[in-house]
Amino acid sequence: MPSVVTEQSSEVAAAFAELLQRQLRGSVLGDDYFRADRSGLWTVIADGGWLDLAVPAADGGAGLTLTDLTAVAEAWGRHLIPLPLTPTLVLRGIPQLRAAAGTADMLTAAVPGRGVQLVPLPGLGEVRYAAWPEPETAREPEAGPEPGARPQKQEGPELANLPPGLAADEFAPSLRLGQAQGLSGIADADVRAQLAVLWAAEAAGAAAAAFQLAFDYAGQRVAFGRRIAEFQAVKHRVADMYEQLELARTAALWAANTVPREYPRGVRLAVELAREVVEGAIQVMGGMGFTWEAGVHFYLRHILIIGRLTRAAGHPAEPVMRRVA
Amino acid sequence: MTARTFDDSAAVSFRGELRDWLSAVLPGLAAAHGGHGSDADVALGKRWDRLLFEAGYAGLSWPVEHGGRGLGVVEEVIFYEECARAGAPDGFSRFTQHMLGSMLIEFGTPDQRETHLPPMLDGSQIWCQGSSEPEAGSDLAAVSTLAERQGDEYRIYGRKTWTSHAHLAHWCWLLAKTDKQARLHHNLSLLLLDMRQPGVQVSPVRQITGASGFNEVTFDGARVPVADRVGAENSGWALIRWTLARERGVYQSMRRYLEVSGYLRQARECQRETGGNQAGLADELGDRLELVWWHVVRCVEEAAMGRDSRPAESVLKLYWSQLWQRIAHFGYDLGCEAHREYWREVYLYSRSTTIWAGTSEIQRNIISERVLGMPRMAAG
Repeated sequence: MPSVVTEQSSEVAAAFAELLQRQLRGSVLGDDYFRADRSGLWTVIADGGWLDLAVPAADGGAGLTLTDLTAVAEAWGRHLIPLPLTPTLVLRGIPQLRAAAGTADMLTAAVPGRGVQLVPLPGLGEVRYAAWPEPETAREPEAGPEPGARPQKQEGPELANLPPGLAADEFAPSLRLGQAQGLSGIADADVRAQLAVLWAAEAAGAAAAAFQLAFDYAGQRVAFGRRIAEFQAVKHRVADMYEQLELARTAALWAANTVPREYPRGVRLAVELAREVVEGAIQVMGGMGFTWEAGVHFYLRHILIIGRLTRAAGHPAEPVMRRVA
Repeated sequence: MTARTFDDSAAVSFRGELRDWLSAVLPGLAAAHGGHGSDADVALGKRWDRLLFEAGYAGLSWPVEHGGRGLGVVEEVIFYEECARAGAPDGFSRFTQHMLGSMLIEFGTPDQRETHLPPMLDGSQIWCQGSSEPEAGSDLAAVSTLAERQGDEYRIYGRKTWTSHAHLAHWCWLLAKTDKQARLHHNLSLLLLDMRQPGVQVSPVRQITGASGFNEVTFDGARVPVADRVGAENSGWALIRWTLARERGVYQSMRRYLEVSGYLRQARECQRETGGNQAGLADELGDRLELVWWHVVRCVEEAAMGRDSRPAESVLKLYWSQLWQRIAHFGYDLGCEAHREYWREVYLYSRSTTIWAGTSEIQRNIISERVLGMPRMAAG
């Protein structure tokens, strides 16, 4: 069996990437991007059978291996869509979870309608993916600031319907963490490892998108009378980022290849390398990279939260997050 | 045809056979680390060459008609992986076999192959690479060593430096200027020069380690028959580019993986001797080293599937050379008294890894300009 993604699965991932491109055409990464109602997109994904990529062919799915799924997760990670595709792929790929009574609720939770979606992850607590407001709680459009007024602090989207005892971490609008008290997970090491692998691949995808953003910026931004891409200092930083990106992809593949024999050591490296790529992207974009508006930070936030999730996947005794007293 | 993978039946069978052989032969081989280029290391490398040849592990991917096994890159990679796992040394002639041998198989004349491949394979003929010059390091195309055509031979005038093993070599594969008028990159030829002749003078160059593994070589009218030129006249740059790509690719990365694995293994031992501090860092470096192997596997398998693996492959040299330095730095800092001299040499030598085979700066130029298509550096 190949250690890399097969030709057939590469084509599946490419088709999925194309679908996402088409569906998200015209979207710009920013606060509104994360507030947008993505239920239509989820329906398209579900109706297209994409949620069943890991389900064996005999059971009506596409039968992709974990290695193959890394290509799908990477394509997904490029868009920072606050929908629970990654855990859904894993959970639906596990026959016992698909078949067991009561599992339906969990899987339903992963198929959002409107409102906050909590995906209970075995042994990990919950990850809150979606964040669009309920229609009745949606805020009125705010009037623009008075001329000359100090800009108002941008509030993140509201989170509604929190279960009692839930502490939330809204650091990354694309991947919010919550931990409800009393959640009992299945704590299956294999499930945790699979989740970690696909999150690692998702991190590589986010890094690839941030890389592209910085690469394009370097080709356009002019300083000292020339495009900054012409400066060797910038080119060399981009080369380092490319090295980190290619190795992050490889680390995710390594991780996929070691499950279920051992906890995938490649996960931590993939996430770390992905993070280094985005740090480089911020540097290449200079002052723009540091602005909220340019949006590179959303990739960094996503990857940092994936870092917490994957660490938790490796150490199930640790809660995903501790409540702040 | 099904693309090769690292767990197909041929690979599994090769791995098993190799493991058995390594476990049988290694206990009888005295370990030595006298430092890079030391007599002890050279002797060990040559002994290993001989053992590999006798057991059929030299020239794994060379065609059978040239004395090889006719296997593929998968077996070459597994070979180094298993050697690293077993703590085997590297052969002294492996570099020449991979680089020059493969080039002669691809571009050499039947006579050149017949003359040079057999003694290269059994390790009896030692080669040095005459590329760099005092004024042509990273800017290799600027070589000025001249090969003047006189009838059916060339006369060589000039100076090469940083020439590893020139003091031991029987032959040199030499990059020299064969056309004074032609423009850059179209004026060089690759010649096979017999080192044992008048007009060749080898002087050792002392390195920062204190050893003299490389040399300065002066040519003053040394002769090379035209029949010993590889490829067409003035096609030398293309041939050198071909070998340089190999030097930075999967084969050589696996050789480095083997060598660096040895340092990490020693570092872990020293760590135990010195009280086991920084265990986390050793694991981290170990994982980063494993990534070299996985990246090689990825490049090889993707290429076997017909995908363009060159972009992914382009980062290998930059990655392993810097990792080598980190591991050497780590080992040195453990402060193991029992291995003080070992780590001094390994650490100092490691400073060269981001310089030879294309500096890290050259690697970054290649990645940014050739792979990513960023604007090229203006020619001076």
